[in-house]
Amino acid sequence: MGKLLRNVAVVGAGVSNFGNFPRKTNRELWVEAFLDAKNSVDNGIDQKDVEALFLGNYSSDLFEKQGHLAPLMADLVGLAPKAALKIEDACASSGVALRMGVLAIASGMYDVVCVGGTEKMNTLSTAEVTDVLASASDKHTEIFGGSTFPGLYAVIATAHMAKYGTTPEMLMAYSIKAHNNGALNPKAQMPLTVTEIMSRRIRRAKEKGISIPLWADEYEFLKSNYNPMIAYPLRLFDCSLITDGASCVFLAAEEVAKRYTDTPIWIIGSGQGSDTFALDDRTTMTSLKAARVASQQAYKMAGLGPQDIQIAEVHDCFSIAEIIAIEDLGFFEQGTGGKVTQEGRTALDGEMPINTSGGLKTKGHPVGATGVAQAVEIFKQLRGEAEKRQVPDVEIGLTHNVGGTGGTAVVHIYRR
Amino acid sequence: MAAEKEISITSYEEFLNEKKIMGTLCKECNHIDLPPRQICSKCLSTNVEWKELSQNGTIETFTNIHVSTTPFIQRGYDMKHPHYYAIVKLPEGPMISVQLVGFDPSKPETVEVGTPVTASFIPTKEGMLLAFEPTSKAEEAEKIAEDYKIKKVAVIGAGTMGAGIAQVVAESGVKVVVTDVADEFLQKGLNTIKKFVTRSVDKGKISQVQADAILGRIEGSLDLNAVKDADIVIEAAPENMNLKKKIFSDLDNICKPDAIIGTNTSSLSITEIASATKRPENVVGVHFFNPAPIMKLVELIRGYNTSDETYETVQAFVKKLGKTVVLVNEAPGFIVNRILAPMINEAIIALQEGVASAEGIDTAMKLGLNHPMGPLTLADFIGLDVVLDILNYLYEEFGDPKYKACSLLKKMVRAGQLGRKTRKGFYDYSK
Repeated sequence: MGKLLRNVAVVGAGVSNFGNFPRKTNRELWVEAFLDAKNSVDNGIDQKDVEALFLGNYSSDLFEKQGHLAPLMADLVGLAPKAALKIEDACASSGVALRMGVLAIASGMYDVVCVGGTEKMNTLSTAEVTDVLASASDKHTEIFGGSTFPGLYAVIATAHMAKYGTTPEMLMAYSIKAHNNGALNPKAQMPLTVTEIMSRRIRRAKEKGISIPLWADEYEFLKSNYNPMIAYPLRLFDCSLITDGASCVFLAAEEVAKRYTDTPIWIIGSGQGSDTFALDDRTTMTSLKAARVASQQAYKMAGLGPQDIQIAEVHDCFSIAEIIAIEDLGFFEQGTGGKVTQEGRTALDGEMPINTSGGLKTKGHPVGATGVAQAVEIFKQLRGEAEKRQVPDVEIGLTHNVGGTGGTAVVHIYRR
Repeated sequence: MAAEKEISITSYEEFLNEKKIMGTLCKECNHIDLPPRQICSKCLSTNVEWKELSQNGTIETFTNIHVSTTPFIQRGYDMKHPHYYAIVKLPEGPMISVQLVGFDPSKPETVEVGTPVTASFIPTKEGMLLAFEPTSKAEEAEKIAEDYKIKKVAVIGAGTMGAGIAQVVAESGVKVVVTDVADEFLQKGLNTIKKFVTRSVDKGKISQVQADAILGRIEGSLDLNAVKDADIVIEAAPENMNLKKKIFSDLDNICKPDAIIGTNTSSLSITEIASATKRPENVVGVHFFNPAPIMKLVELIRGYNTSDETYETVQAFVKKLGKTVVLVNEAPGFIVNRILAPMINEAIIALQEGVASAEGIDTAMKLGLNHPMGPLTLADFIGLDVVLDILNYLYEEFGDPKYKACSLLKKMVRAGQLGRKTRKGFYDYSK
């Protein structure tokens, strides 16, 4: 129980560009990510080595009216006639796909597999995307009660604020940090700092000849009408982006990993949990039980604790989600997530850098691609390939990927 | 019977239609699940039964949502943005996801976790939906409903004012019958209401379901006897004392003995109209402004014999319509017309003396006093003949020359230039 029968390594990892691409479907995004991952394999990898594809995708059927996605994606990158399957666990789809890939290799079934994630979201209007995402919550209670995904995380935020005194400024500090990191990620959807966004708004106001806004600092900007309320207390800059994107990794068993690279990244812990589906059935709303369960499993398997983790990509679909994630993972005490964020302790140069990629907030959140995209960032960081956003000398990293409001959570721990 | 319904989400929603919040009670461990579960979420027993839950709870957490989902909107639930969504904790333990109503949608910072709330069932085309409102408001609404047992209202006359008043009454959730003497007038009035309500749906102010409910509360009739079971009657016939007296005399014979009869007159004496009945203590002036569904003011005029009870009942009723009441002791022109008519008259005198152009006078009054329109534009809107009638009436009643209509106004009325309705007044509307 709780052990891998043999070691599993990530030997290659890549992502497509993340953004809003009117001329790209899931097909092109996926091929782009696949080739980026293939090219990252130090000694090269051939399609014929790959024995199966595990593909995370939330809803190509609703977004693109394209179902049966796994064999299609396998076909496009030359993996047919290998086994291809799609895994859907809302926003945790590819995090769970990664875990399935790990289990498949650890069991001895396969030596080399490809794990991917893909989502084309910008086919629909924001209102329609809201509908598709909301279908991952409880239709009979949450949706008929009038909620949306931002709404569900907003009630979590309200509860966290009421219980721990978390403030809107703490949420804003998160947003500023996310943009600082994303600005250093060339593949991010919004690679801009909040200050740069403010300059753009001022420039646009000048061009339009409307009154030029004056803000003393980022916080004043984030409190202004330029940051509209989405679901109180969450504003636009508290929400992740609607993103087209794909991600891909190659996993190999220890016996064959060295064939592909001298610096494999080992997956030393994997955990997954679930919880009551609807928020209103939970005894607490300020913590995700599934994430706690998943991280405990992963820590136990790795023989490590939160204090050993040097860097983490966590599921920041909303500002409050990152704040509770760093509490649930044990990096900081329950209730202090907002405070430590405001103190800069999760910044790139902080004691516990969180979401160096820019996170879902600025890198983007193509829901089905997010879990594997997190693994790609950790792969690069642990190999020292994260360029301008590189955290020096990191050996152990973690990814935390959440589906819905924590109906699913999956955690992986990586070591160089 | 609750016990006979299978434990399912469908049954749960059917119970909501009966205004019941039904969960499941585990007979092994007494845990309650909401919505119902076939397997107890605490002890996993399948020995569960239906349990009706309290309709009072507290806000556990909430948000105020600016973009809603289609399934929610399609239920015709509420299309106002933003709307509240909350998780409410019931005293028995379970929590439930619901919409909150009755809180100011623009002030989420004033809503507090822990506020007591009470269930409020919203009818939709797909059945009842469960919402919660502040307990204080629910109690207040119940008290008003008990104190003022106004179940049905009648409006006499389906003209602009009559139709508008009927619509306002129906929107407040009260049944209303509108009568007129000719089918042509009646149909025109009912169509005006329909158009107005449909426009509110198009603008997203109300849902189709709400619109259907409003229109469903309005009934038209050519027979004055249709008002016989009304608790309040509001007469909105043309401004003619003899006609009004005739109507009031008829109403006195038809209406229930305790029914209140109001008149929407803008200037005639309530006391004189009341004299046509054997119940002058039940007669009151209820002066709405045009367009009634939009204008917030109602002048409530007390005649010589109007009783305190009548006055208080109608005051509470008008407040329930969402209007602001100003109490007036009967006097010519009440408040608004008494002050407005001399102001318009003075504006016409200024024009006549060449103090400024019509545009100049209107601009000065608009920008100088923040009036939405200038007095001359307003006079064109009201109709110069109506303005002249009011002035003549005030002059006759008070005998004070300050109410004397100026010669330019008289001249324009004689020339048939009455304002917008003749396409020419102080301004030209022919283009």
